[in-house]
Amino acid sequence: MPGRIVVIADEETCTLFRLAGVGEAYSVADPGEARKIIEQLERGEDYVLALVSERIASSMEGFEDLAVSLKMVTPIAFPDRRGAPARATDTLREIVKRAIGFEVAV
Amino acid sequence: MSVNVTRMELLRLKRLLGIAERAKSLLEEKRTILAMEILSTISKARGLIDEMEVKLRRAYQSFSLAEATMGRSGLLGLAVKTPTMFRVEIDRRKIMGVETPVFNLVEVAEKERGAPYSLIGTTTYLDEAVSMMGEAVKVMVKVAEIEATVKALAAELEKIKRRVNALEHIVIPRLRRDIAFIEFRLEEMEREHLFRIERIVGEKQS
Repeated sequence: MPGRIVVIADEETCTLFRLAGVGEAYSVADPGEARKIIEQLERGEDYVLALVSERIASSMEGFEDLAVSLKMVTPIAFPDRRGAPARATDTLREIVKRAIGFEVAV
Repeated sequence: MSVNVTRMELLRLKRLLGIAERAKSLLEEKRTILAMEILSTISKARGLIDEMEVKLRRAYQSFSLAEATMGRSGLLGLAVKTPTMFRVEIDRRKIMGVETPVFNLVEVAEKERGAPYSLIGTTTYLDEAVSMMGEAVKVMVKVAEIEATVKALAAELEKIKRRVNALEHIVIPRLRRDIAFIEFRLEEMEREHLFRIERIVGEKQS
């Protein structure tokens, strides 16, 4: 069975994603809550993708570490409505740094 | 040191050393190729991330206009009723023997999920925002695929690094030490044997 996509962002961004057909969207204000949701998704069986707004990802301590440690869910940080730059590159940079031993510009 | 000092054991250890050295060089080669594969996969990410940002920006702009014309509560009401339209299917492919995921965004058939929001009472700004967001989600799925692929390749690279280190710092030095020890003991035994023979010959002659 195909896996589910989940959005974790502010209320307005969640509304837009829901309208676009991404059924599950969690509007959170607290980064700790976002971490708990991602950890729960990892324990679930049919979640594949967690789209986390950059604002929440940057306020979560060790978002890159969490992203690297997850096996089932792939979290992707995306710029939210207020236009923060994407952090998807940071996670990729961190994975490469750990594997190869040096930083690579993405 | 608990090593059998025999010629058979010496031959066995020399054969093992040959295998260990060949394995190390093959693993080093695989390590280099995997590192290059990671870098080449990463190079595809930049373009996709830029594309995702552009599509999201357009979706947010249209959404702001839709919000201005329809009101926030109107949009919230529609959002609650909108059915789930996207799922991600996972296929697998192998890169250098490493299983990596391929994410495919699939749209749930309309008869299964029901129609999205009604066209009555909604604006084209909302249609634009929704359509652009759908495009952005497609790109996000591709970015996620790259991240998951890089993660799988990096995990394999870590495993290879540990194996190369174990061969280089533990297995090969231990085999060399055992071989040197057996060679030394065999030479010593040969010298003792020669000395005994010379003594026996000397005793017989005298």
